Amino acid sequence: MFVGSKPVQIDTNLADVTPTTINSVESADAIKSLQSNIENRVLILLSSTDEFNLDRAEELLREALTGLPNLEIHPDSDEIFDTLQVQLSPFRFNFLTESQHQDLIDFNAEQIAEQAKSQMLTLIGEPRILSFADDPLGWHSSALLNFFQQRAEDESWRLIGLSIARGAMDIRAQETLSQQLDSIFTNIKSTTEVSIDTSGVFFFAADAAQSAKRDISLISSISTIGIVMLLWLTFGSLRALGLPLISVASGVIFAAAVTHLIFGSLHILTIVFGASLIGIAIDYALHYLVHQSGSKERTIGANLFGALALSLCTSVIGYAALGLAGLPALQKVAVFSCSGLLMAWITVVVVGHYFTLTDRRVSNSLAWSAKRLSNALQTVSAKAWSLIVLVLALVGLYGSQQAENFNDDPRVFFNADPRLVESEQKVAAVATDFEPGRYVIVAGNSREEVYSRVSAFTAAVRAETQFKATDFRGIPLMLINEAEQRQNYLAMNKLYAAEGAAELLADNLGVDRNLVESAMLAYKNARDERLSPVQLQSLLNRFLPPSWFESEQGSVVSFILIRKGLNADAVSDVTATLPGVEYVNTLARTSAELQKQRSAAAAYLLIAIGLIAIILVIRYRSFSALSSLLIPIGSIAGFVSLCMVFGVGINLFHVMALFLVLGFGMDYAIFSREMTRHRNITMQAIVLSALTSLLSFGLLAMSEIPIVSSFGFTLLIGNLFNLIGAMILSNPQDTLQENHN
Amino acid sequence: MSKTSVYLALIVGAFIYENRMGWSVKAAQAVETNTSKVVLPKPASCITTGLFSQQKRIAGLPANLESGGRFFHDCEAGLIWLTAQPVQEALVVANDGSTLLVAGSEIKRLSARASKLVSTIMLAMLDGNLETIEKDFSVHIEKSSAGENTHSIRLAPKSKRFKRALQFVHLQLNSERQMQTIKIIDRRGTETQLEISALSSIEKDLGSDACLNAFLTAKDNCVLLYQGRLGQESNNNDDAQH
Repeated sequence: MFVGSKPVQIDTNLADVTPTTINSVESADAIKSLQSNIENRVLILLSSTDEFNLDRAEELLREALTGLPNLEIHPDSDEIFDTLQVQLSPFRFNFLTESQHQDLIDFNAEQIAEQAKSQMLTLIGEPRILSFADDPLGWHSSALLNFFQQRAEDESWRLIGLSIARGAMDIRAQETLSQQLDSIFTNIKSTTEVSIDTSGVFFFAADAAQSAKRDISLISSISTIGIVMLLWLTFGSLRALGLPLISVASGVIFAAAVTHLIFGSLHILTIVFGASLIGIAIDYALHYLVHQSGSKERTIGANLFGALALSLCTSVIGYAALGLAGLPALQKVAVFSCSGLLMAWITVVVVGHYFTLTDRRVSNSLAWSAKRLSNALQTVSAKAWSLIVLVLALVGLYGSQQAENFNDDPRVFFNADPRLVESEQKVAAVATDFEPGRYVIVAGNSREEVYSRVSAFTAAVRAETQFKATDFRGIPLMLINEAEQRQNYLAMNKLYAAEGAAELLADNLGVDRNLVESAMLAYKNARDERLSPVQLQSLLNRFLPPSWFESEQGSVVSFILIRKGLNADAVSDVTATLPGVEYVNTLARTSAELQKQRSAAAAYLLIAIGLIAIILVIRYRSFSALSSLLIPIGSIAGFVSLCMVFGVGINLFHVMALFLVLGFGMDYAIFSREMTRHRNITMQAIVLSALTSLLSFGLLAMSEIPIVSSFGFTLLIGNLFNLIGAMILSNPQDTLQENHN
Repeated sequence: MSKTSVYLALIVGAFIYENRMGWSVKAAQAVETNTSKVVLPKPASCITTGLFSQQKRIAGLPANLESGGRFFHDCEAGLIWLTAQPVQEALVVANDGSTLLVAGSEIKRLSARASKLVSTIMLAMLDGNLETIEKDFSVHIEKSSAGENTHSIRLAPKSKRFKRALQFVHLQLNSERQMQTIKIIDRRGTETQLEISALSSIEKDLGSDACLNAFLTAKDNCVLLYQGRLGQESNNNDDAQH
């Protein structure tokens, strides 16, 4: 599918279906940037008991990956470290280890030179990573080694980092890359007998996209076949298929174009829900065909037009309410559905008359079945049904007050393949010692403020005996502030001044003082060289995700990672009293946010019912018109009660789907009310419409994606109740009279 | 004389004296050059001692750095490498690979890749067990020009991980264990040459020094305890001198 000359971007970003949990704009931007960086990162873990197999596998894998166009392969940690030490070398005069600090206080230049000489003599001391000319005393080597706590190494594994250069979340790029990686992994596993595990959002997104693709293919195929069969059996003519086909096609194409235009891409979930749009968009064509077939008139009747318009209004209200959820994916669904329904409706109204079956009668079998069922249901009095609806509504209301009837677990978003989760856990065990979903955010209006808040945090943490300084990691903990760097620089004068430790070391070693001159000159020239957090972050770019963010206005947000297994509640307690320091538990926050949104959605549902009630009263100028609301209210209450009985925890997506149950229920009620002179035909159209929607939504309930199946399940049950409600409300006397005529 | 040098001297003196040094060396197994299997000369007993001299050449520094001292090797625990001149320090290498550098009152745990590799080579050579080296190094045996009983072995790291730490190690071994030379060239070109001489085996007497084994197992607390005890001994010694 193309829009203009550009192919349609199909987005599979899982973050679109999770609510934003941070309120501050700066924090939200920082998290977005961090998230975008993390999304593009992939880690590949090679494991084997044979180290030489590992070396070979790593070499082969790097070579194979080099050929892939969308990937940037990170150098190994040794190469990164080598590069970093070169890049950090100009700033070496700003850093001291704790013991070097003390030595500068305790010892004179001569003693320091003596100490440096003994370190040179040690059989296996610390490696000297800088040359003698750059670091005669070996101090900067120690400080730089201390700067980076290199990841523990093991002879049984190798880790390769990748960045996906572009289109990581685009379904086409994802599919191609995923297949290429699979093929490379299979080759390497068979030739080197290493095991390969992967970590990265990419693999989960690719898996979710494949699930969604299977769902789209299954749902649209079965629902299309089912609907075509149903229409052919009902109308007995292939011509009748033209209007539903054109209206649905025009609706879907228009919806895709509008959504792409507004959001720049189509989310994979939008397409899955879009497949279900067929079930609603087709209703207009069905009502039109059922009511106009056999009629010689080329114009649409006023009643039918009114009913179609009112039906569009209520459905649009229902779908538009989805946009209130605050989840980008559902906002896209709302735009997609509202625009699609509008275009389908326009198509039916404008071109419908070309497809009416003037010399054919619609098959009566549906009407007959509906009438029999309706009669059976109407053996119970209207008052009794009203009482049942009232009881259901009360039960539903009571159930909505009980927390155990709800499920706000964020895992409802996607059903990850257990093999991927296991692989992810294996990589995490060796690749990181820090919690992935829990961290501390420190924000401030300037670098100085953030550093001062980090100091307050560090002091508070040190006061707790259960924490160690190494339990936390972040740029402000790795890098001292610029004022402290300057102090260190000045303190190093003892090393590089005339007759300082460097020159005395040269004397002590019996070599010419010229050998230390270049280091002394470099020290002099580095008077104004300070390393800023932004510079450090750009140097660490390939090694670590960004954790320091500065806005143009100067405000700063920094992340501090928490070591795995730490008592998170205690960290939360420590940060509670510190201004600008916030402990973030993403899982708990997302859960709380889901609960908040679910409650808000339930309130919006009541508002939508209220709005529809106002429209009904205005349209019919009578409060008795409110009885039409009994159908959707009964269905919603019935669904909630069923969930309570069967112990199904109601989630945000169930509540969202109830908006559509409301839309469908109102459709049926409106057509029953508007088309009073043709109740039999109306009931036929309603049954046909219900069957098509049950076909499409019923299939959604089978989806592998929990969100989609929640949606489908709600609509399947809710719409079944809607159909029953419509049958109960249809007036048997009118129907009989119509049949008699 | 500083306190440190007193207790370092005490380690050597007391240890040698109390363990009733035996100078007998068991018939050493010759290094085989014709087969792929290399057999190093085995020590006569579990505890070995000897002298060493070290020459170090750091890239960019025209002078050779020379030092020397004595070492003790316990096959069940590890190695103590005592540098006596021109500085005094002890390098403690436990058989499990953990390595401590003790200089004055400062104790530093060494974890660099090169430290671990060098420790492994030293322990393997003193144990007469090349198998542990063969796992990580390619072994090339060369005929030495120093005589029939002397063999040269060149060790090249096999894995990429180790190649990043060391370029190669050259061993020159005498089948009677009288003189051994080790040359280590690290990744950055620093060259360290060790000459081991006066190698001898001594009888083990566990009762002589209860903490020695613990010292060799490189447990921080015991090192401190041992130092404390030595400090006390050196004070007693000073008192006695007074």
